[in-house]
Formats: sequence, C-alpha cells, structure tokens
Amino acid sequence: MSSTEQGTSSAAPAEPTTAPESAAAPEVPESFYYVHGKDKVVHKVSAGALQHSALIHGMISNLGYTEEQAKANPFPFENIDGDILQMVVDWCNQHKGKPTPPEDTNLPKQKEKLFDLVLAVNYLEIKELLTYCCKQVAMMVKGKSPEEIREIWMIPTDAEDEAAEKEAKKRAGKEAAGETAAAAGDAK
Amino acid sequence: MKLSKLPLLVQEEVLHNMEYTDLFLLSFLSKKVKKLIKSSQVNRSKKIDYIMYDCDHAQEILVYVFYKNDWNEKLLLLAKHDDTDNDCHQLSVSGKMIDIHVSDKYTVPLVLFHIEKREDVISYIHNSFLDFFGNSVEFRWKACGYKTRIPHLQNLKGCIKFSSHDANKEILENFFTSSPTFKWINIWAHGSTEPANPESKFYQAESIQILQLRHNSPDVLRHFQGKQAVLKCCECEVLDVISFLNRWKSGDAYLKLEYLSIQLFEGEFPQNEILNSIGAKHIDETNKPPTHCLPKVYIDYHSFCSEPNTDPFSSHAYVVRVTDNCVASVSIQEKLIYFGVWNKTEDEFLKMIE
Repeated sequence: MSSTEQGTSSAAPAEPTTAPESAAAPEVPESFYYVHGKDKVVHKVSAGALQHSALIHGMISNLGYTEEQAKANPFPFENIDGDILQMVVDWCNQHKGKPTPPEDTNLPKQKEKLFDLVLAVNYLEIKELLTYCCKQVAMMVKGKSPEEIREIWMIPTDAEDEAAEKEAKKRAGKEAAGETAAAAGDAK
Repeated sequence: MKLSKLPLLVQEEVLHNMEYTDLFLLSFLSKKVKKLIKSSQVNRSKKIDYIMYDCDHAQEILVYVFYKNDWNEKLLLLAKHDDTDNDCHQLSVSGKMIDIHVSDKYTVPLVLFHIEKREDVISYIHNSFLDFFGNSVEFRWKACGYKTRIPHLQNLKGCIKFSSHDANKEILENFFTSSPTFKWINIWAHGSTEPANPESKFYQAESIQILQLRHNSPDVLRHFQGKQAVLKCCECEVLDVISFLNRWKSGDAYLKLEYLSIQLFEGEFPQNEILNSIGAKHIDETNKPPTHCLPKVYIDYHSFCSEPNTDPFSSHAYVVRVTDNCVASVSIQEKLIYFGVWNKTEDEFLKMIE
C-alpha cells in the first residue's frame, strides 16, 4: 500500500512494508513513485495505483526509474492544487487493481472543488474518474430550470457571448497591429 | 463553475451524461450551447427511433424519446395551466413566450398551456423539437380515443388503439378525415368497424390490427393501402380473400403491402379452392421454403403478442405480381392465412431456396 506524506518535498517517504514470504512463490516488491501538486506536498503512490492515470503510467514506462531515482524525482503537477491531488491519489489507491463500480458517491459536492477535480483528472487522463466526475457535473443541473442551469454553470446569454466575441476580435486586432508596428520598428 | 472553461471533450462528456429532458431545456440558454449540444449528440440522436406524444383523457400530453432498442426516456409534459402556480418560468419557444414549471414534484418539466391555446403551444414546442432533434426525426401522436383531433404537424403520424363498439360513426369518420396519416391503428369491436370512405386515412395507416367479433370480412381487406395488417375476425368471405389475393397479384392494389395475416374464430379457409383461384405456384416439396418474418410496425406491448417481429411462416405456395415479378409467400391453414411479400423477383426468390 502507498502512504501519503503531508509536509514538504524533503520529507523522507516511508519504506514500503515487506510482505511475508510465501512458500509458493516469492512476491515481487511493489514499486512506488512520488508526485506533488502546487503545494509541494509529496505523495507516495504505488505503480499499481498510478496505472489509472494514462499520463503518469506513460511517463513511468518511459523512465524506467529505480526506487531511489523515483524518490529523488517526484513528478511535479504545479497546475493541480494540493487538496485536489490528494483526492486523486486517494481515489487511485482505493481503486488499485479493482474493477471500478458504476457509481462513485465520494466525489466533492462543492461545484468549485468538482470543477478543479475535473480539470486535474482530465489532465492526468484518468478515464474512469473523469466519467464519474462528468456524471456528477451533469447531475448538478438535473431537474433545474433553465435560469438555474444558467446560474450553476455560468452560461452567458447570446448578447454576452456576442460582446465577448467582439472584445476578443478587438483585442486580436490590437495585438496584430502592435506586432506589425514592432516588426516595422525592427526593420528600421 | 463555468462550463465553457472545461475542455471541449469534457464538456461533451458532461452532456453525454445528461438526459434529453435536461439537454432540451439547456438548449434554450444560448445559441452557442445549443450548437454544442447538437454537435455532441450526433451519435445519440442516430439512436432515436421516434418522439412520441402520448395523450391522456385530460388532454395533457407526455412526450417521450423512443430509441431504436425500445428504450425510452420522458422528455416533458404538456399540461393544463394552473393559474395559482406562482413558480413558473417563461421560456422563449419558437419566438413565443410560454410558461414552464420545473420542480422536484415532477420527474419532467411541465410546459403549461391554457386550454384555448393548447394547439398553439403544441405547435411551438413541436417546432422547437424539430430544431433540436432535426427535421428527419419521426413524431407519433398516440391519441386517447377518437374524440379529440390529432394536430397536423411536420413529420407527425397518428397512432390509435380504441374500441369502436357503440361508436358514433360520424364522429369516427370525421376523426379519420381530419387526422394526419397514421402509423398504426389497433381497433376492436363487435360489429363493422371501419370508416365507409375507401379513401379515409384509416386505410392508409402503415399498420392495422383489427379484432372483429361479429361481422364478416373486414373492409380493410378491400381498401388497405398500408404495409402490415393483422386481422382477427369471426368469419371471412372466401371470395373476399380471393379478390384480395388477385388484386395484389395484378398490381392493382396493395402496392405497399408487406405482410397480412387473417385469423378466423369460426369456420375454415378452403385451402385448395383459394390457391387454385389465384393461380398459386409451388416450390418443389423436396425443397425447404424460406421463412418470412419482418420487424413489426406496431407492437402491442399490452397483449400476448408483443413480439417485435411478425409471426415467422414458410410455405411452398407463392404468387408472383405480374407488374414487377415481385413474389409473395402464401400460407393457408384451417383458420389462418399468412401472406408475406418478398422484396425479390421470382428468380431471386427461387435462389433463396435450399
């Protein structure tokens, strides 16, 4: 099993417990890797749990790290908040080597947390968890009136969309004009 | 949470996990969202078989989406306006403001109408369905009895299951005259059941199922213009059966017909007399004839015969239509006739035989 270490990246990760030897066949010790988010808190996670993430699994396969190398080089996910990465790690640990159930009721109910979790899970390419999260996002608006849906998902009106589009065009035009002027200046 | 800030694939996955009832309401929020829904639901919309308006006696209409695998989901309820309801929202539907009510009390949103505006509201909602689901989706209107007319709306066909026992003939005739064409009709009665006018839309239904207890040959045998007919009657004139088969064979009538079965409760069909009268051909007795079976246009889920396909049958006897060489198998048993049209010429049909 993996353990999660709260603290700093310099905190020494616990050694994996050694399984009692089997008379039939010696058990291959599980390999562990280390990840941290924006808060630099390092999480020790087993390779088995990390298999849920296509992104990390791909990185591990290509690196061929030894335990020491893995410990010395935790994977940095600076774009993911620490508490969100903790949720992801916990989920991967809970579902390590198990078939994923059709529903997951342990996802955050607060919409901002769920939103951050969706982004993190999408980035880490954890397909099953992304499916649960998307179901949860969909459930947020089930049985709601159009105006309630607009409020929950912050959907702009057509007028707001048009204004934003105009603004974006204007900004792009200005930037292009700025670049042209700079290029002309360089030429001189 | 700003939906548009999620990556596009994630937005699509979220929409994929929503039911049509929520997606439909969501589509009213902005043009951009509607476009996203439409593009993300292309595969799902291909699975739609039809949209059903299911009416009840109170003239309220529950709308369902039926998928090709027979699964369905409720979309919304068109309900009478309760003016004491202060919890209404206004929605611009096809350019008109209509009242809707969404609450935990109901499993679907209610689209509210005042009785004098019922048809208008149905028409606005129907147009928004066409816009949302596309112009090629079929709509069916399951009527509750024949006293309330079925509106004429784009891609809409009627469906009705009723007893014509003690029916007012005039009201019945008017109902079929004023209705759009029918997908299916299921009718049961003690006496003569059908409208007198051979051009009535009654006879143009794609599928007709008749249970007729005290009468002779159903008129539908003479005037039917649809695809599938299942007739169960007390008696049936042999000459009517022969006339039907000969008219099909000559190409004078029943050009769309795919399948007909006639079951008798009394008497028997004279097999040889009928086959001789229509000049039936026969496959060699040593060969196994092909089995005729088709997906039913109308499945009566409330009866014992809720099978999705027509009764499979095979017969050594067949007839060939003179105008296009199209073949139909004919099986005549004591109380049962099966007539199944193959979309094949005689040569193609004979090649199928083992």
